[in-house]
Amino acid sequence: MSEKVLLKTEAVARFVAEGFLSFEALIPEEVNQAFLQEFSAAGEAPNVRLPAFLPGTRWSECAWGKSLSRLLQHPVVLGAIQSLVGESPIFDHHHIHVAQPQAHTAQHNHQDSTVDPRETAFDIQLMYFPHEVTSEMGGTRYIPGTHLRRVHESQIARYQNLKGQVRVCCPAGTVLVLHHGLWHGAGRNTSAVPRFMYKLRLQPSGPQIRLWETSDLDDSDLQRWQRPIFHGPPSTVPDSIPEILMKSHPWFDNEGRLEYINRIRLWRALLGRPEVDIDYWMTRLETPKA
Amino acid sequence: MDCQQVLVLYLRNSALDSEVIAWSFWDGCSDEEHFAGETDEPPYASGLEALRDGWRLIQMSPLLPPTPGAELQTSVLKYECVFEKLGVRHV
Repeated sequence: MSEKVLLKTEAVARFVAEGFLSFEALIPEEVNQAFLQEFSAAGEAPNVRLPAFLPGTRWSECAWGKSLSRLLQHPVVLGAIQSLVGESPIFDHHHIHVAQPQAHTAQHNHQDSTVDPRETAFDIQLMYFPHEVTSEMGGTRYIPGTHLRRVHESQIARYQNLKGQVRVCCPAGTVLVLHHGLWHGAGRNTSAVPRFMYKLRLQPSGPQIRLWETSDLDDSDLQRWQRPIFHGPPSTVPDSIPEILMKSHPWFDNEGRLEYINRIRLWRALLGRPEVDIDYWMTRLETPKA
Repeated sequence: MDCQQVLVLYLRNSALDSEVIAWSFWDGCSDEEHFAGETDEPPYASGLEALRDGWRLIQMSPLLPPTPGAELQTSVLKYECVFEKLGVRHV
């Protein structure tokens, strides 16, 4: 891989807590136009021109073609990919999703693929919006923080609305990076024009331990994350990491504390530090030590 | 002809007067479509508020103990209440 801007610890913590990262208007308009010109030619299905790699192909063996290369070699996109799934990710699949205009309904909420029992590994899904998405165009709907829930694909279709749901409404060139488990669905496009979104799923080829820019982390940070729950001396050093990882979502029910615990388990795995805890949630369950 | 409207509310905990955190609606009495992502605010603040507005509770999810070995795992929403209203559909 070439030049890249790796994620900082705070961004990776947000990904662990919310299941996505958003980069608004990241890709230059010239690249957006080239993408649309290449893949939305009149009278042709947009996916016909996508390179046809076999699932399992290594990143280094993927010949992306001109406009996809310019998207995927963008330093921020490349850095996000490497920070989450490593330098040599594995191609799973890609597809251009087209939401047809004047639709009567929306896609059900779902989690992609199948039920996924991996606890310390995850895939990412890039979503690239090459043109502006207005509120009428039914941008992808997603529910922040749902990614660690183990469900089977459209098992959750019965849930039409959840508090805190978000609809993508963004300028051209926006890129979202999603944890594979994030609940989502295409919105209803009531506008007069089709909406395009390119999605790429990548898998890690090795352990996802400290792949990001970790120069902003040291052992004293890790100690500070054990904060007093109710009463105790407040930390004198500002640290956003425990705040980010212990943030609740409006849809949380009685199981919200289990969400915190599952985030801590993933955070431990990404740090490669199984003793790390936040706010004593895991330590309590592990006392006394075996 | 007789028809049914179905409202499903997902609550913060197992009490019917707890807060609604997710909701769905299917209307067998009209041709109006209701779909995913339609609204950001629930029709009622709690299950009890729906009862007081004439909705009949026909099912609540049972309270199940955690599965041994999977106590920390989260999955579907736990506190589902299904309500109905009966009406007449004009065809």
